Amino acid sequence: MRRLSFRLLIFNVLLIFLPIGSFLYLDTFETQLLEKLERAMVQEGRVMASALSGRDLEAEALRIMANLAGRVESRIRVVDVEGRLLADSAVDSLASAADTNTQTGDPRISSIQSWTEGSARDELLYQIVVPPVRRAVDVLSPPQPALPSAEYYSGETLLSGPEIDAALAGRYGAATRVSTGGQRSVTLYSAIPVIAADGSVRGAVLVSRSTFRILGDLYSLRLDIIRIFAFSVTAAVVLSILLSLTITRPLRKLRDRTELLLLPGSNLHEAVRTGYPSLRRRDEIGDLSRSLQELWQRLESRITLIDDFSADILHEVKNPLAAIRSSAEVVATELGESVPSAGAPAAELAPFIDTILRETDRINRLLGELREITQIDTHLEWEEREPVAIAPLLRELAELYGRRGESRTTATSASEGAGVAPVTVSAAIDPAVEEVALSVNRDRLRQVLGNLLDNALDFARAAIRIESGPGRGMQDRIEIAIEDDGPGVPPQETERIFHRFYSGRSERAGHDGLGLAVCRAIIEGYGGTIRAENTPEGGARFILVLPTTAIP
Amino acid sequence: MDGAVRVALVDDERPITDPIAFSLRKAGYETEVYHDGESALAAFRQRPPNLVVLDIMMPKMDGLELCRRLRSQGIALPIIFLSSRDEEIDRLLGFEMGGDDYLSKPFSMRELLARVKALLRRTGAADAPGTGAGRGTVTPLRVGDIEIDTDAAICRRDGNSVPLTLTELRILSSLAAEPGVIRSRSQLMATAFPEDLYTNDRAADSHIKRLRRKLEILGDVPDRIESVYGMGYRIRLDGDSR
Repeated sequence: MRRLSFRLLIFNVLLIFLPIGSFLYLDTFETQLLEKLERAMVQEGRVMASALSGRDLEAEALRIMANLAGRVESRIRVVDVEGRLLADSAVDSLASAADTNTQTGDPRISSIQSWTEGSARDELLYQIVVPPVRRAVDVLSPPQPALPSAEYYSGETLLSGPEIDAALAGRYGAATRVSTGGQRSVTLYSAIPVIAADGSVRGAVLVSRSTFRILGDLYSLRLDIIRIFAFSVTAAVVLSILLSLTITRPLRKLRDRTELLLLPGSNLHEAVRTGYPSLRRRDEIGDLSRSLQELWQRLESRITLIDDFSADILHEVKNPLAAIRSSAEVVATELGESVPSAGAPAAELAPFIDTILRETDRINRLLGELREITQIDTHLEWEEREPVAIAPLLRELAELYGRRGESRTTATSASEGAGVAPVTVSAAIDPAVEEVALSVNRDRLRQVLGNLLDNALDFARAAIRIESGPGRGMQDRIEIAIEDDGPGVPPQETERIFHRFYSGRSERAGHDGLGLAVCRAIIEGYGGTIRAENTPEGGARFILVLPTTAIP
Repeated sequence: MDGAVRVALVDDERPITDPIAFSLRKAGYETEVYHDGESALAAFRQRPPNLVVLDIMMPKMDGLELCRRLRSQGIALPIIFLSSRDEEIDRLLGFEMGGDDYLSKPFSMRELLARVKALLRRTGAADAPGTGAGRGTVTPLRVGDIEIDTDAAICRRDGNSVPLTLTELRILSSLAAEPGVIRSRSQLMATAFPEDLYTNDRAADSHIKRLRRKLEILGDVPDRIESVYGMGYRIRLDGDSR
């Protein structure tokens, strides 16, 4: 979800980089303005030149300058054929001081103050954004020849710049010079020849104007754009956070609830029964939550169905089973009572009756185990787990089964050579195991170990060995091995014996079917593994690997 | 007085009732069979039998409902419930069962006959004037303040008594016979169901749980029946440090 929020933010922020793009556009705008400016200057120059043609150049020029009285923004100078300065609007007009200021003083500060009401904050904003952008543009654009300074004509009486030369030669001349005072503006110079009626060049009009005003306008524009940019960034961040709250928060809620189900060791039944939070939203997230809720309900009904189904099956099978058993017992009793009169038949039939009784019991036992195995996950979830110190438990079991082994009288073992001989039970426990505990239900673990030990007791010839040590190559695991010296497990069957209703060793009563499957279900429920192998001596060895927890 | 003991059998399945009825008759009981709760209730109102073997799961009126109606109408009958579901047994535990008993299907016929006999004997004793103290031929077992009357299948303490099911009686007697000695679950189950070939060890736990509850009702010391981890159960004598 955090990634989603981040993505939303990125998109929003990218969007507001559009104003940055408009900065670049401003440069084009600047060029256009400059062109316009130059055209205006040329017009001014032409008008001036036309007015001067055919009269006394100097006297007329001075008169016009006086008339203009600084009311033009451009500085207009008139030179004669030799380039001598005849008239200068900056000198000959009343407003010359102001014009001079716009050209040669340090107009930036004063102008900024006049244009922007002297906002230091705006200036800071400008300085933060524009110089880096400029530098980037400078880096990206090809180098340009350095321009001469606008001081070029300062104090001169004989103007001989290239543009003047061009004008005196009868052509249009233009030059660009950097404005003085360290500012970025330039001063444009346009020289227009003054042509007499006879076609000869009588002199030239030099119109010059600083681009500073344009730059000033652009500055305001840029400042506005920067302000818009700043507002946009703020808005984008706020919007992203809002989006994140309205989209990713509910999504996270749904995810957390779902993950609860997937956590190892979480209570699936409990989680399903408590239901799924439906969000009262009309958007897609609301739809998703409702879909998940429905999925959840179906899951619940399916789980309930399976539970009920297994209970029903059991019930339905147990009734006929009860009828069979009762009937068989009745027959057995009747046969037993009607003993010798008919001679042999009763005795001959007795084993079959026994078979009926024994097999109904077997079905009954299998049904019980089947019920257990279908519910084992549920039971494991319900049951309390606690840290169980494994070493003492193994020693206790060794003692208990040692006593049972001494007095072993079971004749149920199918393995030849095993049977009624006493069996010794030994335990070899690694010191490392003394330190650890398993997070399990005590009785369940005992059920598994007891099952394996019962198994071993039935197969062992003379000895059962319980071993325990740290898990090989695995941290926080221990290994428990229970081995006997019986006939072992056929090597190709070591996996299949854990399957439900594996019947490879079913000759023994009570060992068909589900015991090992139940063991495996329990051990895997605890995040462990169980496998079987044969010892070098040929006996069976069952190996449990279980995750450990610290002894409290 | 009619000497014959009348046992009623209520189960909707004929394959189950037939062999049971046959065996009960063989054992000398006068036996009536009903296939649903309603007809049984109607018949019991007229003439209650001495004992009822009652299936819990039946159409129309199930066994628990029948039992409830009988009790609400003041007809006190000893009942042996038959059940094929774990859940039903659990419901029985919540039900106030008095001294009644239950068996899980499939059951051993001999076990059923043993319980019928035990329950009849016990209710006969309960009907007798006075308590069974002087009547029993066997000296009652004593553990601490607890007295176990095996004849009457009840447990007494300070003049109060609770009835025990046959299973509970057998388990408690087995534990009380040798206080302090540990009995494994399978030993206890073998004692409780001597006729059954197969019993589930874990069922012992639920019987023990119920026994503890009954002893608690009598106000006995808590943990009279002690779990010995990994081995089984034993009964504790007061002041016995073991």
